[in-house]
Amino acid sequence: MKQQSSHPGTFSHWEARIPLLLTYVILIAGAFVMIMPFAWMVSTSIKPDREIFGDSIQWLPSELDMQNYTDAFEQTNMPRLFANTVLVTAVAVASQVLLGSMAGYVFARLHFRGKMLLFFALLTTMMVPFEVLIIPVFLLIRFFPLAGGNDLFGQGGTGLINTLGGVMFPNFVSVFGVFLFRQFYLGFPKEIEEAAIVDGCSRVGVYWRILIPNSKPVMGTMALFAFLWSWNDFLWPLVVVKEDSLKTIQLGLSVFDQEQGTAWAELMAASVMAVVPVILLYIFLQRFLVSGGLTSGLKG
Amino acid sequence: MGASFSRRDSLYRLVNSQAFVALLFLAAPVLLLAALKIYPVFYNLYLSFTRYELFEPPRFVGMKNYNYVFNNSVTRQSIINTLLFTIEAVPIGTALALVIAKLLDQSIRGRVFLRTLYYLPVVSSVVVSAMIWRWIYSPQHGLLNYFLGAVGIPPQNWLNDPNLALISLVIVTIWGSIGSNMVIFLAGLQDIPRDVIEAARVDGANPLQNFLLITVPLMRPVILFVVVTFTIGIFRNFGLIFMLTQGGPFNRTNTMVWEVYQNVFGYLRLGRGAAISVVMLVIVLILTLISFRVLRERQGA
Amino acid sequence: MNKQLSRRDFLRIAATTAAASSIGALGVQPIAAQADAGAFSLAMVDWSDPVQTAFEETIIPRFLEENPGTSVSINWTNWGRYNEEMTTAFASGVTPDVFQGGAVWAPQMARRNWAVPLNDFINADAEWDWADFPAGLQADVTIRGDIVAVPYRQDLRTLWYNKEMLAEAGIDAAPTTWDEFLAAAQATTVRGDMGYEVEGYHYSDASGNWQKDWQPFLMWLHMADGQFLSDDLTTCALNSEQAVAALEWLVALVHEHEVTSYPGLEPQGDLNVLAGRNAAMQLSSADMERVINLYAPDEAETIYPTLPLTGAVQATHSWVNKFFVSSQTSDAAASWGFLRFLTRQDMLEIYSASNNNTPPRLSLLEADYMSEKHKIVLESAVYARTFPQHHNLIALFRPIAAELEQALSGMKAPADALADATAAIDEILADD
Repeated sequence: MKQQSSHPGTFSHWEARIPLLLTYVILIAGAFVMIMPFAWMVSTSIKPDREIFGDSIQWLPSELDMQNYTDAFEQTNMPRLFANTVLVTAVAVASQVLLGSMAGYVFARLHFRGKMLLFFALLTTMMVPFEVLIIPVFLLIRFFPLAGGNDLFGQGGTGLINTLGGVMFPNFVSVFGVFLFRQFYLGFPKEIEEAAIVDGCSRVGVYWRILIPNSKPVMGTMALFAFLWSWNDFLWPLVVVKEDSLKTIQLGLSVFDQEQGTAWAELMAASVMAVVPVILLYIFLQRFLVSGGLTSGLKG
Repeated sequence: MGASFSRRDSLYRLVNSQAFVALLFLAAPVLLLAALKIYPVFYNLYLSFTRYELFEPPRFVGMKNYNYVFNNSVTRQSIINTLLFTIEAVPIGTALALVIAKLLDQSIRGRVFLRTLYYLPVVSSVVVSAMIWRWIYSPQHGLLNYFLGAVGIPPQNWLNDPNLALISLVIVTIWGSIGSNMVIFLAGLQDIPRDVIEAARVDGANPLQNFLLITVPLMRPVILFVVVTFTIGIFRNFGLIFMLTQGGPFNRTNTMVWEVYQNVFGYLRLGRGAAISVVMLVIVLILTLISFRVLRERQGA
Repeated sequence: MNKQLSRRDFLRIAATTAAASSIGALGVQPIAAQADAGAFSLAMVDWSDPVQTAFEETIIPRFLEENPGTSVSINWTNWGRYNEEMTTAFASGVTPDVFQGGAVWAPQMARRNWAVPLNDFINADAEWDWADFPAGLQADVTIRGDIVAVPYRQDLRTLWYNKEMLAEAGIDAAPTTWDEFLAAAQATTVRGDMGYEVEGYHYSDASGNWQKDWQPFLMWLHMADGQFLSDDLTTCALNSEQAVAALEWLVALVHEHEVTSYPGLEPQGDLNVLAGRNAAMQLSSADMERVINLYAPDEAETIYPTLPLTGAVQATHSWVNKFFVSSQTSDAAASWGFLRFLTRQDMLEIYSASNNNTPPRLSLLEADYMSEKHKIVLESAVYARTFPQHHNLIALFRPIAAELEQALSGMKAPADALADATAAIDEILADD
């Protein structure tokens, strides 16, 4: 195999520039397309109606009009929507990280009869979209024993329907998480663990003292995905939640989806409010990804 | 090893045995997954052979629901629409994501910033994305018609024109998924040994050759993963249809997931909805298996 | 370099999980008992700004004033998702006490036992003036002897036309027959290089909501003296001579006479095609008047309704919208009291006036807000037909969309399209 270090300097600056320029042109043009809708959303949200529905496109508002935000805030009960969504999402993230890392450890490191069978059974369910199971899961939540007035056999009440618990339930664990953690732990050097076991460390101890402290990148990744899934979940809350006071932000936004004449300015203002916290959180969580998984290979 | 056999030791050995720790750690996730993923698959299968309207117990009707699924024009159309959606979105969306990922996988200035921009549509919820795009697609004051007008194309009624509605959804879907697919590709690109690409370049391969002959073949498992998850993502694409077209115009965007929702929560035909779900699941599984096979053959060749 | 995640960090995460889960568990509480004495929930679908304002600023405050100690929560939805929303609510066991429903809801609600029969309440209520509701509307909400709802609106569609445009084309009187209608449409149609500049008749908007094809077709079907289902509700009647005549007529308007486009012209923002002078005639409800007064006041003097046209018969369609009491309400008597209030003469007047709806009460025909035009619309009530009382109408409508589209776009002969629609509907009926 050729060693890159044996050919230093064969790569001239002149040759490098053209691909670099092309890279930038493509990437920036692409980024423009990706970002344009958001820019347009923000621009619409701060414009008065006459500029939104004018004869020609007005890129920037002539004056900053925050009225749309106060209107949207009042019409949707924003604080409540946020509180519900944050709670549901926090539980999903914490639970998926914890359960995913535990199961991932077992599948990566421990051996027992039927392990591969079980793992492939779980892996197969990753191919099963949740939407396909909406009927049985709805029935499971509807006839959940001992909840919402139900008896032990799930009869008599409404189960977990119309509760935040019902919204959370399908999000406690993800197969993707199990898979993600397993892959990460498989790539983790075994020697450290073996040394620890020789030193008398238990298996739980290996998981707890060695794997967990080194799982930051994968945890960040898992947390980000769990966060996005839960925050953006729409179909399930739509089916489970009946009451305004339990709605998540996604459901709350659909309040604006009126039949006759959509209030675009307010709708865009509400959308901005719904998406800004997510973007901020993403940028925060992204540092986990940057310092960990995704770019580690670039450093050499 | 084996010097002392005290009771405490054997207890420790039991507790520290692989089987015990596995049981301890797997109990919660496996029980939850069994309840949420495995049991529902079989219960769904059972329901698909019944007539069930929730307020009376399910009644066995044999293949009746499946006959309906394949013979009813609306339902059959929903299967076709779902496949069309997949065929239109997956190849282009995957290719774009791979190219972007490859371009971003260099130590260039502004890389992190650009990556963040590409990822933003993924961060944004389906509902928000749908709202924004409905505004962009608006026939009167929409941004898209404005751009088209600037190059002399007459305004289109994107979401309500039977010939454009599905394409309009495909565009939003690709836009919304490039970021997530790109991240998976970026992670995959990490695993390609740098020195292989470096060596090829030193041997005179230009960046395009390098990409097509080295990166793409080495990335095959990742491409497979993206294609499969992307396809499944399209099968799951409920929010976009709910927010943008409600299956219309004239059932042109009526996909299987929408058809399930309509049958269950529109007409309270849980058995029929279950049958459509089963068909949906079978198609997803077949697609997955096909891509595995295609991949294996290519690798073998 | 990577900072390691300490065990303390992890414990903190785990603790957060536990805490959050327990908070989440607090949400796990029975909701069914929600309708305490005097706390009413109401599902509204008739959503427009004026209706919402009328309810939130006048009607509900008046109810609370007259019934101290009560409270009302309203959930607004739009028609597009209302059926799913209410079905999910019933399937979940969490419904509002009182809810609105559309023209085809009564048989379905009765069949599923989701609506409280109101006969006993109505009979025991000496002050309740049931006779004030026209017999046809009473019949529409009475399923096998059970009164399952109270109407709040009759949506009568009739022909609206632009007087001035017809006059310019040399036609002085509104058409009364299909032939006169065709002559007026041909005289007013203007075709340009890019397609229609003015449609003599605007059939439906391009926005491909299938109901926009089905609903106007239904009116032509009635005029041809056809019907949707057989009288005994067991088979579809769309493959009849009359139905084929109606669809052939419509297809001819599009392709042979070229007086309407398919898909039709797009409305311009809030201005509909007729108000925007892009069409000379259109089938529409009384709401048209409100739209014109609001968005095109200049046209108010020239756009008028006329009595239903005569094809084989003089006829139109009436959509009867109504309020139901949910079978899952905890107190049916109290909920009836609430529904009774909402459909009381004075409240219905406020409600109907807000959106220029056609009221379902005879005593409101002389109400102040009833304009001259609105009275013409109301006169057409005697020619109105309502939907057959089948419990599965919403599902029966589904196969129609694609078939109508095929016929109207010229890809399928009308008779074939209707035969196929009939076969698909019969299949659903047989499965019932």
